[in-house]
Amino acid sequence: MSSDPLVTDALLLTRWAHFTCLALLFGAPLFWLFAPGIFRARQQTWRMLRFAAPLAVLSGVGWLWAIFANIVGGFEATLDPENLSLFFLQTPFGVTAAARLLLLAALLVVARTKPRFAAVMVLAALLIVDQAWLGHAAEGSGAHGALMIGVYIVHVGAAFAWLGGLPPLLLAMREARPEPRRCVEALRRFSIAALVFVVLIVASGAGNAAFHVGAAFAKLPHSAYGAALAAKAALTCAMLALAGFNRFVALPRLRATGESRTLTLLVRSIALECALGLGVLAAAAVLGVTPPPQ
Amino acid sequence: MRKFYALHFAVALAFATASTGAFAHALLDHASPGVGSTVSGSPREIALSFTQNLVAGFSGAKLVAAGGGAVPLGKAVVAPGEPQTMHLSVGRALKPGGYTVEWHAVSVDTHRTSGAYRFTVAP
Repeated sequence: MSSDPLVTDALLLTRWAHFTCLALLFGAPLFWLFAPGIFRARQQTWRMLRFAAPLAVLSGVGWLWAIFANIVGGFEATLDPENLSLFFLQTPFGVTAAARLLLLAALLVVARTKPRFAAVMVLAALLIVDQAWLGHAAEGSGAHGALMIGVYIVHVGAAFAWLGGLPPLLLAMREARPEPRRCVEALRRFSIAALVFVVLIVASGAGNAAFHVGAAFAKLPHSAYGAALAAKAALTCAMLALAGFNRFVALPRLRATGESRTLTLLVRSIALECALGLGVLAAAAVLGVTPPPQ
Repeated sequence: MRKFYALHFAVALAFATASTGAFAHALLDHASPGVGSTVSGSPREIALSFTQNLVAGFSGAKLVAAGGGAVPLGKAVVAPGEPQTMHLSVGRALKPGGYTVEWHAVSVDTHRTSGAYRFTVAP
């Protein structure tokens, strides 16, 4: 972490906000690719994305600025033109940062026009790929480095697909309250997709942990990195438990009875999953600025 | 379900095996003059080797004599064949006494680290 607490706080807050926006911008359009039926929730989702896009731009620019401040040793030094030139032209992450600014500008333009879910999703996917070179995953070189980058992209992509799909699912479920069976198919399809995402998240998460902790595994329980990782794993397990309840208990009951009480239970469960997801993203933000044990 | 857990165990094991070591954040691995060492004669350069590849433009060091006076050092140079080591030329001959190297390093994963160590030039 940075020795300047202001820089550390900025890094944490902007990463968390940016990850949250990107999860929504990637996962929500993806949800509507496989969710069937006509829901007003689709329009509500687009309004949500139009709100999330400028926030993603603000938090993204803020995150890059905080990274820059961390590199040069404080926000004051970021105003030095020589440092700016060095950052963009003579570092391996300068190109990554410039590409990110362009992608964020494109996102802002696309989100202002008529609903274009696919375009927003593609831009969010490119931003996920780009950010692999702005953190721990970029430390390797050669084939080992390429594997680290690949595993990071799979992990973040699957996680954002899952987390970002929850808010539109919640909107669709709320909309289906007068006729609970209407949302059964959407929930069933999301459950199948979520299972794939979870397998990818767990497998790539184990890979990420192995890459960053490696031989220092014994030191993990006594480190700040270990505490953040444990918090992230615990929150993810809680989300998995709720997802399991939704899929294997609530969904069959809803399909069989069509009870509005079951749907209310599902809505609450998914809302709680969303809240836990914010916690997972916060833990991910902490992990990105915390040195793993060595 | 058993197959599911078996697959995860296999994947985790494969990653753990493939992971040759943990880095993330450049830490000082070794230096010349060495950490806490005593050298005879003034060194012509300070060489600092880290656990991760460095970004030369944002890495560097200051050399401070025991009395508090700063000794001029050149800019950090990172050779392509040695991406984890920065070399800094010493601006003038060092008199016998204690010196502190205050370094800062930016690694290719954007993280900045800093630290200090002492060495002595023998009379």
